[in-house]
Amino acid sequence: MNGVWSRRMTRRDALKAMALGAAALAYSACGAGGGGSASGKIRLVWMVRNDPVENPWERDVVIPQFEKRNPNISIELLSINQDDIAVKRQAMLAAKEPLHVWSPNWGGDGFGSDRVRGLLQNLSPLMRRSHFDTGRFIPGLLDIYSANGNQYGIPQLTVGSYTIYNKKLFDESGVDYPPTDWDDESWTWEKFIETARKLTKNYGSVDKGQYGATVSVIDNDLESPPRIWGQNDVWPKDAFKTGFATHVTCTDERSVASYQAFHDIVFKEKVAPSPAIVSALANLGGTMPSGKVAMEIQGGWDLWVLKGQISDPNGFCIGIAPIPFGAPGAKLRSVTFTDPWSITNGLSERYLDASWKLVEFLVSPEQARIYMEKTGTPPAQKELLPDYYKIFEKCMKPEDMKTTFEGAFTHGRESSNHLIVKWDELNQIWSNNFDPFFSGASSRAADMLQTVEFQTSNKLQEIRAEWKPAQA
Amino acid sequence: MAVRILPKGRLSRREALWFWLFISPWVFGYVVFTLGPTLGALYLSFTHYDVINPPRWVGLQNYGILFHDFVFWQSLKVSAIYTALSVPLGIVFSLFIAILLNQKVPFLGVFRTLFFLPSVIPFVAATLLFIWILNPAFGIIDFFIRAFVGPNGLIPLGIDGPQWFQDPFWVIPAFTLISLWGFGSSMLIYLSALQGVPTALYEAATIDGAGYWKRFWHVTLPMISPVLLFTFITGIIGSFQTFTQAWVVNGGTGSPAYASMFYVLYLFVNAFRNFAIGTAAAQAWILFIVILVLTILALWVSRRYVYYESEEGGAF
Repeated sequence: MNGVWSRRMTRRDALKAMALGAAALAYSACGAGGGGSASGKIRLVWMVRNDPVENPWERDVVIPQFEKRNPNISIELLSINQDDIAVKRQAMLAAKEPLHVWSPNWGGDGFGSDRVRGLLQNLSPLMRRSHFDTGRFIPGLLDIYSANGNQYGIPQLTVGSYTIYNKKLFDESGVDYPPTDWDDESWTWEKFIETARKLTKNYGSVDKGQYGATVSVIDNDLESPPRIWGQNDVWPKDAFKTGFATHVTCTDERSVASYQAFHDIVFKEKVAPSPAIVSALANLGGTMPSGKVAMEIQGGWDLWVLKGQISDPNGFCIGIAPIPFGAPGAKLRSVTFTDPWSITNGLSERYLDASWKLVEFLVSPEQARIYMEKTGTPPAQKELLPDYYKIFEKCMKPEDMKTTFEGAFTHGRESSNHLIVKWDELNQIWSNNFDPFFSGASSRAADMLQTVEFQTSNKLQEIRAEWKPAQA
Repeated sequence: MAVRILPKGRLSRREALWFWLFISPWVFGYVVFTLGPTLGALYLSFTHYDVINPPRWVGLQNYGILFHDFVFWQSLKVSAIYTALSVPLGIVFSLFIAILLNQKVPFLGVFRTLFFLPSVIPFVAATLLFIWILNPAFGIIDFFIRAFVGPNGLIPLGIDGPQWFQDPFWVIPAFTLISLWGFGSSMLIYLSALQGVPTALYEAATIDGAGYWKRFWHVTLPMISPVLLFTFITGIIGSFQTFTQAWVVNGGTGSPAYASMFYVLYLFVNAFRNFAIGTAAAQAWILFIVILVLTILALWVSRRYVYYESEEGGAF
């Protein structure tokens, strides 16, 4: 060997080599985890939930199209199991790992808690700067994710709760479909039970059983059954806006009647499957997908879960109807669920701008349409709704679908799940009281709700004491 | 080759150096991955920490919160009842099977493999299996109960079978059944202990007129008593740390009516759902103390009942 390579390495050379190595390491580390690169390209981390319906849109549509339009921004898709999202997000933020765009309602406590924790960027200045068109959203949706005049999330999808029914079972039994209008007062709880009775066959039979209906506390939201009976004050008036409450009211006559009716539909009316059968059906794909249940009072996610049944030659047509009147005059019977995109609070201006570009892109009319068509999830934008209804026109006239679908928003309120701080802790109380209540033949709603009211109110006071000063 | 003799002090220093050199990977691992986090958890137990914001010193507040939290006491109760049920039953069941598999019968190897097989199935899979087995509508156990003593059964006593995971009373017995499913490891330990009992002792006992039960009681049990103590203590530790099965069955809710809120499940929920890391750290330290006290108690009581061949005395 000769020249430079034949020379013995001096201490200075060694130091130079070490410095070069350290610089290379720092450079590569910056490229890999720091979110930027020497060319000035920004790398955004976009957290989504594992979902076979949504992931192809995110991976195959959004990322290539966005990166093509924004060559200086690349996106890393971080797809996490929905149950684990909150833990992962919390750990990433604590470790100062890059995380830019995500939805607070996936996993954990939801928007209310994340807003109070200060995790969400105020989007209002960005919206003003880019003249963001808010008029294209279904009225009221943006308000759900605003507080103190600041916007913290932009809605991506929204859905109400409905009576979702299997048209094939109705046709086979020669039973008329339920009405479509939320104000049709002939659609009462009694009528619902009567219809379910006509559709129930071989009750309790393992293999031949067919069930007229199934009901559950939608999303485990304490307030959902009482609303059907006209009790709209389970939560204090300002709770959904502030995220805090000192108590709930659920021992009144209407709340007790609602929970008792949900219980009796199994043990007294015997038109709905018992929890044991529901859990068995869940293992077979779900209550409605099993094809053994005629009607289900449920959140509208059944629409995209069951969409495949429409095109399946062995499947069935689905229809949606309003939730029946538990008591006359009960207007706000639906619970609505709206998922927004949010941006992590405290990003540098460069990353904030890039993240906002991504959010704008995600909710652009063009992407919102592709998302709706690819996934079957209902859009949050008005002009897309007529096309959404067409997805189901094989089963339901678009005008009927419109009446029922949109009626859920004029006859409903957003879920407490998204708006009450530390909802998950409250949910633990409800699960522990609901489960034995709904599986015990002789359970009494009045007893169960007394415990629920006491425990929930205590927990709310604890949460308020712990979080309210922190918020201030 | 001439051997270089080092002065005694230098030799011991060199030996000590080598000792620390060789043991250093373990010491490093222990300090960084066990002792450090343990002490870290002790510090966190005196703080309010939600992962996002820095820990804030709150003194004994977390312990106070726990002592006033009925779910904490319930979780302690659930784990204690589960331990009281599953540990003795597990020992008796595993020992019984080990004794059977210690007999000289044809196809012994096949039987031993078959009985050990369930314990290689992961707990998650076994639990999912039991969710089906114990389903009150479709499960095989309730099917047989209905077939024999159900309202239309062979002997119509009107008994429908328990609701298992949906009934606060039956949920712990259901988890105990799952725990018995994994008896293979302790069965294997008992089998090897049984094979280690000198046959001369049985022969002497037989000559002295001892029947099967007396041989079992006065020879087998004392000889395997150290192993029984070992499995008893590890069983207590393991059952107080039950998590996987409960998580698979109830997803962390502890439902129904907190009857399956195992101690470690509640600890996890506090840490990673409620993000009350300080409270969870306090729970971890309380659990450590509970297990330590139970272990010391078991060892103290065992002095009367456990026989060590290498020691003088000891009686059964």
